[in-house]
Parts: sequence; C-alpha cells; structure tokens
Amino acid sequence: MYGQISTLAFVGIEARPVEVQVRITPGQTALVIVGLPDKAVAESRERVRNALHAIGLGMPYRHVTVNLAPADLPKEGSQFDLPIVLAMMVAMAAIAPDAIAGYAAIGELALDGSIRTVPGALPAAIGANAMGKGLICPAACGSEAAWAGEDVDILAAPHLLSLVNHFKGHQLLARPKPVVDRDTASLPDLRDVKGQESARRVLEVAAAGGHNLLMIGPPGAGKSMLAARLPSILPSLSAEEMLEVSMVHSLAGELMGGKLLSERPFRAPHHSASMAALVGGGTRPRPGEVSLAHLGVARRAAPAARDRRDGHRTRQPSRRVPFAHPARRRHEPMQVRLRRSRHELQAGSALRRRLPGAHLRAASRPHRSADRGAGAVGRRPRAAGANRRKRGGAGASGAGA
Amino acid sequence: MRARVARARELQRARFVALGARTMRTNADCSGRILEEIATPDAEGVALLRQAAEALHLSARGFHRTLRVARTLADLDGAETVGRMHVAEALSYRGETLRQANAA
Repeated sequence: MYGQISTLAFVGIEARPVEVQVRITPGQTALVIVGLPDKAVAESRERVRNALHAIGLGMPYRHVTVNLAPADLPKEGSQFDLPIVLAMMVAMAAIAPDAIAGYAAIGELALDGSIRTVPGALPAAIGANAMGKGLICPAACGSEAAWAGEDVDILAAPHLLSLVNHFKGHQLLARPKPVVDRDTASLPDLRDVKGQESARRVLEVAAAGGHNLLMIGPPGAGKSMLAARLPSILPSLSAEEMLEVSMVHSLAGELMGGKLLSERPFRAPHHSASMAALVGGGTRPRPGEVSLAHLGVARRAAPAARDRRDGHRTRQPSRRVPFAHPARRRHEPMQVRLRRSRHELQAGSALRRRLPGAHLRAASRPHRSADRGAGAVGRRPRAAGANRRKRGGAGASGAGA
Repeated sequence: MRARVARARELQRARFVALGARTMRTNADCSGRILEEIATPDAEGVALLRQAAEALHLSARGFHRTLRVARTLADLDGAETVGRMHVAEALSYRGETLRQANAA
C-alpha cells in the first residue's frame, strides 16, 4: 500500500529532486497532500481523483497520504499531478513499482485523464538525467525534453492510459524527436535601414564584441528600428547556447510546440513594465524580461523617463541578475546586449532638471558633467563636490581641445 | 555584415578557449586581467589611450571598456594586435565627444 516516484521542483532555472510518496492506510476516507504544497498543488487532489476515475480506477475508501519530500521545500505549480497519480497507482498495485523506478515525472492532469503541458520540461529532463533517471512528461513537451540528450529516456504520453499501456507492454511510446524552431523569416533585416552608415557600423561593432549600446536621438530618428535589426546580424546560437536560452524560456512557458530557439531573443519590454517584469521574481520566482533576453538583445527605451530604481537594476549589465526573496535567493542568467535608447531632449535645461533621468544619467555616466542639471546635483548632495571637481576638469580639457 | 560579425566572434571564441577562459564568449565578457593580456595596443595606441584617459578623465572601468571595444574593432579588421586606429575609433564611441558637440 505504498508507492513512490521522483519528480522535480523548480527553484529559478534549477530543478531540485523531489520525491512523491503515497501511503494508503486504514482510517477515515480522505486524500491529504503534505510537504508545503501551494494552492495549485493542493487542488491537484480533485484532478487526481477524477483522472483515476476516468481510466476506470476508483479512489480507495481509505486514508491516502501524499508526501512531497523534502518537506521544507515549497512545491509550486501543477506539474505534480502526474507524479502523484503515478505513485498512487503504484500504491494501488495498478502499476508495478519497478516500472516507474527509473523515471521522474512531471505533468498536469485533465479531468478526463489526459496529460496537459507544463512549463519547464527541458530543465526537468536535464535534472532527471542528473539523478540518473528518465523523464515522463506530457506529449506536447516531448520534443523539448528530448533536447536533454540522446541517452536520456523520455516518455511523452498524451494520456494516462497510454502510460499504463506502455508499462504493460501493450503499446509502447516512441522516443520524441528534438525539434528546433528555425524561423528566421520573421526577423527584421538591416537592409531596411537607408543611410545611417555610422549607426550601422556601431551596430556591427556591438554585435561582434557583445558590447552594450546607448542610442541618443530625436523621436523618429530610427533608434528603435536599428535596435530591432540587431538580432539579424548576430550569429545563430550554438547548441550549448540554444539549451541555455531555451531553459529560461521553458520556465517562463514561452517555448512554442516544444521547439528550441535557434535565433537570439529580442526583448523590448514596454517602458512602463514593472521591476518584477524586468528582472523577474515574485513569490514564485520567474524569469523577467532581462533573463528572457539572455544571449540576445534587450531594448530599454527612453531610460530618462524611467524610475531610477530599475534603471539601476539594468544600469550595469551583468551576467546574472540577482533577485532575493525572503525564502530563497536565486541568480538567473542574464547576459544580454543592453540596448538603451533615449530621446534627446530638445527643450532647455528647465525641463531636463525636472526629469528623473537627470539622476539616472548622472549615475550611469560618472564622468559626464557637461549638461547635468543643477537640480539633480542638488538632490545628490554627496556627489556634488566630486562633480564640481570633474566639471572643472572637463572645462579644462574642453579648453585644451 | 552577419558574416563579418560571425568571423569576429569565432576569433574571440578561439582566443578565449586558447586562454582557458571557458565562461567567456565575447570581448564584452572579458575580465580585466585577460583583457590586458589580449588587448594591449601597440606603442602608438597606448600613447593615444593614455592621453585620452587624461583628457577625458577616464575611470579605470572606462579605460577597460575602451580597450574592450578596441579589441572588437581589431577583430573585425582581422588584426592581431590593437592599433592606434582601433583605440581612436573606440574612444569616438564613448559618449563624451557626442555630448560636447551637443553642448556647443
């Protein structure tokens, strides 16, 4: 009356091994899930009950305890449905324990017993491989999970019954084939840009060395147009890079049809996007826009009009963006060409002084002082002395030149 | 243009692999120590860079950033060492010159 199977919980892009243990004991009829389940996991009780009923297995009139170990790691999302039902079927002697011993499982159940797609199949498959096991996942995620490696055993099942039939040997499931999303046609081409020779040269340099880029110019000068065409001159992702990028996108649930990305991502979050949307986070940490642009291009329009806090978060581009949560601390990959653009302010310094961007530029460019508004300096009293010194220096150099 | 970019990136990748810096892919990822090793310009370039660092009040970070871009420019040219030309172009991409033109 005992069954168990491995599964994985995501902490950032890392997949941690979790064991689902099910024990059926005499006592009051109930299904209890313990081990820090969140709401989505707690609700899996109803999906599990209905899915079992749909394949002709009734819930036993006993006390069923489901434990998700380690008990102190919070379990989030709906991917625990499938491991719970499989462990339960082992406990009910519907599946032989050794049939699933070599697998970890993720998947969400529908009430009719079919297995619905869940985010994170690729990191899960890599995590399962690290545990020395194969992965049982939804059919729609199969081609994504297959990227984990040739030698990783992947079972991609559309329905609970097809899994049962596979284990009984009636109808074997074939290993899914890895698929790459080769869609280059949709990328805007740099040929659309007329003239702008120096801007094109700078784009080429930034692409070649992976440097960051700040574009300044009046509205309509073509900053965004040039930025959108940067990915088209970047080289395609190598196999290793493809995995890295796709892992992040997989967790965000943005991989379409289980295909890996072969082109570099271009992210242009709306300028009013919140900090959490940009750098990721939340109680269930999810990758933000900068992480989704990993190894690609992130466009940050008009930082001058931005709140200074998230301006600072992306001010010094780094390989990893840290985000802290009281419960855990994670570092998501973030290796992007940060492409900022800023509308040149045509109005005089009176307007400029009122803009929060005055801080931002002051902070992001410590050695720029020529056109900084006096207001901004006033609001940063400690920097004022240093600035004055630099201003003197800049003046002297200007005279020299 | 994409082919030129790919060639420059291949140069960088091969160089970092040769130096055993596995985590680095592009010049932008390059750390200070390795940067000095691979991007120290020729005598004329060094002279120009020192002069510019004085005039523009380049910080240590700004100095390295300029070197990084200069290395990329040399890679695009397929040049073995960073020359005076590359340093000059890299300096021109820093904001100072642009802003001085604006202020005038």
